[in-house]
Amino acid sequence: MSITLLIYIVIGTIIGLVMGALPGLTVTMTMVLVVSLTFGFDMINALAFISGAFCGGVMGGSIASITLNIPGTAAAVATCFDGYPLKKMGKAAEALGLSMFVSLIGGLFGIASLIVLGEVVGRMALKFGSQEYFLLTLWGLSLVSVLSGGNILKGIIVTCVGLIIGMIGMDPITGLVRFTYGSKLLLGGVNYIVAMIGLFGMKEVFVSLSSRYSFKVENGKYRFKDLMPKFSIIKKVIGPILWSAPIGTIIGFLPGTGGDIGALTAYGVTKQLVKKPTYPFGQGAYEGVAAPETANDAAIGGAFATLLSLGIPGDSVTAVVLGSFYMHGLLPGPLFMITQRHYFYAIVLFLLIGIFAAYFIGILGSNIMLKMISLPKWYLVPSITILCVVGSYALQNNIYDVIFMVFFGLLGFCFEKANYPVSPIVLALILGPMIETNFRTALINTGSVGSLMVSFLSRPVSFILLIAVIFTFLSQSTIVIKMIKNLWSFIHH
Amino acid sequence: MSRASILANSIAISITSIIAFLASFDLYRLSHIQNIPIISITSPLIFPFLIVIIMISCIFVLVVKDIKRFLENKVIINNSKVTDDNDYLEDLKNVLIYCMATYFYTYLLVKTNFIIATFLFDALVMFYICTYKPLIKKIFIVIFASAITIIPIYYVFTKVFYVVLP
Repeated sequence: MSITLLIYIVIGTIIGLVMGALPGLTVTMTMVLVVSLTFGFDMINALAFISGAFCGGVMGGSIASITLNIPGTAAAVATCFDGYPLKKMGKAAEALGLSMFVSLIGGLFGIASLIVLGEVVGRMALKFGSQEYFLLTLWGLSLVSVLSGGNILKGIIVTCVGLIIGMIGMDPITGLVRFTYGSKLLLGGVNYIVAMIGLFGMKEVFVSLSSRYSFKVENGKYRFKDLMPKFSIIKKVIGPILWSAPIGTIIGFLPGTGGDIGALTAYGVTKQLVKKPTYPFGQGAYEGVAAPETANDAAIGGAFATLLSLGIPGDSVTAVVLGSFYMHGLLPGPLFMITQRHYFYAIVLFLLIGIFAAYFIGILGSNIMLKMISLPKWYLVPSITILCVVGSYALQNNIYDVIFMVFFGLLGFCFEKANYPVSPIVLALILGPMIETNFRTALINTGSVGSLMVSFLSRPVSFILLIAVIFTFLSQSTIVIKMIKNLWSFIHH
Repeated sequence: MSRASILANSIAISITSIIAFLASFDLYRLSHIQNIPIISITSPLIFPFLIVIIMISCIFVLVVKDIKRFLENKVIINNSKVTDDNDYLEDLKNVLIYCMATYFYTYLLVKTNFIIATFLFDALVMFYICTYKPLIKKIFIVIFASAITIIPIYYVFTKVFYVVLP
């Protein structure tokens, strides 16, 4: 571990913290822009930088939630519920200090789980065949399209859009050219990093152009000692920390779900379990800050376990991370734990340092970050555009990539305005070749659609995954929800 | 259901329908002109075909649902807030202008160099969005802000991250 790597992690963490704290700039967007900075890096330096930015981005999201009531990231939505009321009660420093401390604890739990889960799942994944991989990726896409919020049909439609865009270019098995319409530009397919910069970076620029709000932080100056964790508060939230950390890790581990769902689930569970909170939930309960923040950071470890051992990104953030790994020549998947085990431990170490760095820099630099949150829109909008343009251009020194990037931004804007989720497009773009290759390999190996279905049912892991896919869709059906509710009330009575 | 949301939904549905149509057209072209069977276990078109079918079915159901909702809420829509509608069209207009500006910036990047193109783009966009008054103060702020943005970006990308800029 050299000092250079440490510097890379720290710089990545600072960038992640600042961008994660800026309202409207999601962790995904932070990661996309950070990845575009690493094109000229060695692989190990890039890994250090990306890991630091990831940890910083996740932790930074809570700052805007508490001080502005605007979540810096999707995963920090639940932190708003009680974080902002605490700020209004004049306890912003306590809330910020608590959120950063529990994020550290959650992050450490997640990393410990990553070490255990990575090994176990890596070994299990070696026994997976095409059927299991197909169903696992299908489950991931199903979860993303169903849980992205809003209409389930819209989720499925955008997933299909992502899959079709991912199929542009050469077919992965036979080399047949599809969906290019004679254009040489499309022969190599659409670069997913370009699509990501457009869908997450440029789209946010367009959305903030149409936003009529500007942010102003009041009383935004906190003393260092006020941000340090207070034993009296920590004592009250030990319970929520204890159950939120495993909840976050497990949800992060599932393909298709990430910190945002983990945080909301942990908040919901805490609301159910804690009968006497410090203040009522929604009015400044410390438990309501501790639970989502713990789960949010614990999800990092779970998401990385799936990413590294199966090669499947859990959510849009890990999809960007996977894209950056591919770009730097790192190939996560079942063989990763055998052939590139040293990189696994390097990533674990970088995440560990990144989480500590995010905590200490978060505390020391919170006042500066609060100042940066107040940066005016007229300054931020063109600056982010320049970063998006430079990021997409620098990928292959190709000006057409910039044109594609702006197109994807516009596509993302139109979809967002109509309440279509955007993250399934990116996940489908990344998982597209994997899902298609495994589906067709399984189909060729079994010989017919009927035999393929039989193989899904006869292989134990496939069978479980098939049930999971079916349940994902059924759980959204109003009839099934009603039936479960009736059954629950029947058992209860 | 406001008119703005109907408009936004119509645009999104149109985009997805165009994508579905283009994909179907290419599948048709490949299967009929190049004689590649679609329904065959070894066909490279089977997976895209299934995806297009799922997509078209979902679009169809969504459109039917939206039309039903539209007919049920017809009275409310007629009296809905026209300001929402205008806001959405205004947003769309701004975004399209911004898109054009970004494409023009890309063109300038090729024709001139990074510093000149970026300074022009940055200053013009800031001038357009910034609401400071009086004008002289605004111009001074915009030029200063552009300069302090571009120099670090150029330096960091070229000297620290070794990215070749135009």
